[in-house]
Amino acid sequence: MKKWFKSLTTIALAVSLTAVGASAAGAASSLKGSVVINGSSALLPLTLQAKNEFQKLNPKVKISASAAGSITGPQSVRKGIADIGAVDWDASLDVPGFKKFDGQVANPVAVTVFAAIVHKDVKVDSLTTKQLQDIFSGKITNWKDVGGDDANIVVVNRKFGSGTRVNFQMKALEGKEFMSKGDNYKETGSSGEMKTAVESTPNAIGYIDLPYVTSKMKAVKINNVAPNEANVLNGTYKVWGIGYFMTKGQPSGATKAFIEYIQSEKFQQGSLKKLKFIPLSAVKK
Amino acid sequence: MPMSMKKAIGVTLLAAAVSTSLVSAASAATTTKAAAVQVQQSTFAINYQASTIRTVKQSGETLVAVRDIAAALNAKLSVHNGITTVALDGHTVDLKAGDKKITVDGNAVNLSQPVKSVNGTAFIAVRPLVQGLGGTLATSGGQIAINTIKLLAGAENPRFVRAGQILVSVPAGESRTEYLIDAKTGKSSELLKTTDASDLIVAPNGAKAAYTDSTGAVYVIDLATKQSAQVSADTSIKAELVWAADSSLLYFLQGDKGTVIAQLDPANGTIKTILDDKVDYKSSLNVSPDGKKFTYVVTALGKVTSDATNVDEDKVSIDFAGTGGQVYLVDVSVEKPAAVKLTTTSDDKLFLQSADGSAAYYVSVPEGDGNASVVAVDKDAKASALFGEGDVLEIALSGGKLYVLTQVSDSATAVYEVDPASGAKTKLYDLSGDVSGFIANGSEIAVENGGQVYARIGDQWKPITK
Repeated sequence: MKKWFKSLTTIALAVSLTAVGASAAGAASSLKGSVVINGSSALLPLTLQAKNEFQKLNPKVKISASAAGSITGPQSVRKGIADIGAVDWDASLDVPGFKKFDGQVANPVAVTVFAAIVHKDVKVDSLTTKQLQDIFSGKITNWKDVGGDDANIVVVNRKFGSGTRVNFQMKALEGKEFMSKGDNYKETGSSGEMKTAVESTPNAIGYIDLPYVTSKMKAVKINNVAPNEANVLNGTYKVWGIGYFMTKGQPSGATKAFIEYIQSEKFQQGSLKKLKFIPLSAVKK
Repeated sequence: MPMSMKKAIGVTLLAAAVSTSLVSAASAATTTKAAAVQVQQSTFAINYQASTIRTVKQSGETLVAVRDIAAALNAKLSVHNGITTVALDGHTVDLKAGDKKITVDGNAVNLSQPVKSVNGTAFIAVRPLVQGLGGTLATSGGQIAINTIKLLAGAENPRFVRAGQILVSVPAGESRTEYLIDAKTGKSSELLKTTDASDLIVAPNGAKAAYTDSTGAVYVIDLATKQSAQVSADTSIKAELVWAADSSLLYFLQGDKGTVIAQLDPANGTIKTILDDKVDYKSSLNVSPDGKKFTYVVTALGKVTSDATNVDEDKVSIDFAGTGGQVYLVDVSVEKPAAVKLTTTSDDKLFLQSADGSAAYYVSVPEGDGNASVVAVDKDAKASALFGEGDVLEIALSGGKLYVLTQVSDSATAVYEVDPASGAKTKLYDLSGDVSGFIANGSEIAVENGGQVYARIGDQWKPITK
């Protein structure tokens, strides 16, 4: 188990490895502590991957994770039941629908791309911002009005408090309001529920972060631009945001070490990419 | 040890070694007389190869034939206007017979004895020549050992490819280079430079490695030819790749939540679902040699109750009872495969290892301050303590034996070999407390210490990276 951030030793080479007891260098104490993380389900796969890797390096750190939507992240931190609140926006600032969380520090961890998704049988591949606004507000209710079959559109929304919802509203709908009721309207409590709903509901439309997109659904282009990393980096795809780990003040101890691990180049350029998130450094240029 | 002291000791040892070498070589050496100078044939270890070098004595100091050293090092030697130039790895040494100095990379370096010409061959003290070329000197088995192999700096994530060969990664900002290292010499060769490849997973036969790019596409690189080939363009997320025991097929956990166990045939790109039981967050996948039994950890999440109607009220609670990781086993050879939960305890279960699905081993990290130990659990969910010396840091299963790195005190770690069947344990090595990781290829062990990789060469640990 690699002791992370272990101080380097300057003692002689072979001697340090063989002469037990003769070495003056003591081992750095293993990092201990517990880290409780709650919040964004969009960031959850990233959190758990980092947890698996981090605990091999720091076995004495207990990491417990849960997810029920972004807003519960900074709420849990404020309430003192979580050390890290995973959230899809900077919750230290005001955003539409949510006031800032005073005293919390937003630690950026990943870039998340959000996609408008439809059931795989929907014959629409691209929607304009105006069409999305009209569909998600309930003005357009039939796929034939946007080039598809004559079938009622089923709008699947995330519940209030979802970071994916905040980002989608701000960036895909340019701030326009969602519909909130109706026969062809449903709300889901997590990215996983959204995935299941759109995969299993004919004529459904919803939105989700890119890692959750599967072959059982279709991610549509927005204004004829496909949701992918390349289009985020070239500036043509606008529906993306930075995910944050909120902490009560500056993080310390095991919480700090875990955040630093997830922010490390090794993780950002490795597992984070593998999970189809975008490294922070890619959009800071 | 202070550097100056090390240097002083090194010089003393070196002088002794040269003397010993010459004395011992005297009876077997071919001795010729040239201008009253005895030219002897001495054996040096140059980059771990025995090499015969002509030497002469001058005022009690041993001088070596520049041409012989250059040839043994594969250095470039040229003579122009009476100046001999030796060039190696960006370093240049200029010397001239009779001069009591040489020029190293343009800077003058004084010699204690002038460069001597014997029958047209230049002889010089070995240390300034070798150091001028960026090499090091030491003594090994009574011989002078010259080493100009540049150890790789900043290497991490060592993995055995086969006996005597280790794969490492050297990250550099947003890119990463993979190198193969000869564990006997530290000589490295670049394998792959990438900005987009996942960790390389080496096949059990040591001939190839697999990786994914950020789209999810899978590649296999031939470790001999260093050529990569895409074997699947499938874009699903593949969190873990595992080779079949015969190096033919790849298995992986598919999807953002690692829900599905899938199989990829690199020969034709075919992906087959092995298990889709809708159970999320699998990790640490182990596959039996027959490809039928899969052992893995499932992480259970806390249950959140929340009401966001009034955000300021913070109506949120989390129940972490029964969460954490548990070990599961599934046998897909039966008609309706169902995963069996092998553990229920609240400890963290790290480094899960299972050879054939009949038993699994893991590092059990208890809640609180207790030491970590190795626990075995069989296919019938019967758990037993397998190893409890010290505070276990890491385990590896190789060649049917379990290798355990454990912290036995603040200043000491040790590597044990454990027979998983009997529980019999043998301590292989006592090590520094700073050893932070290890890899095993059968009983061949390499360790990580202070950011360097050390291999066991002879009866010593030698750094093979710096």
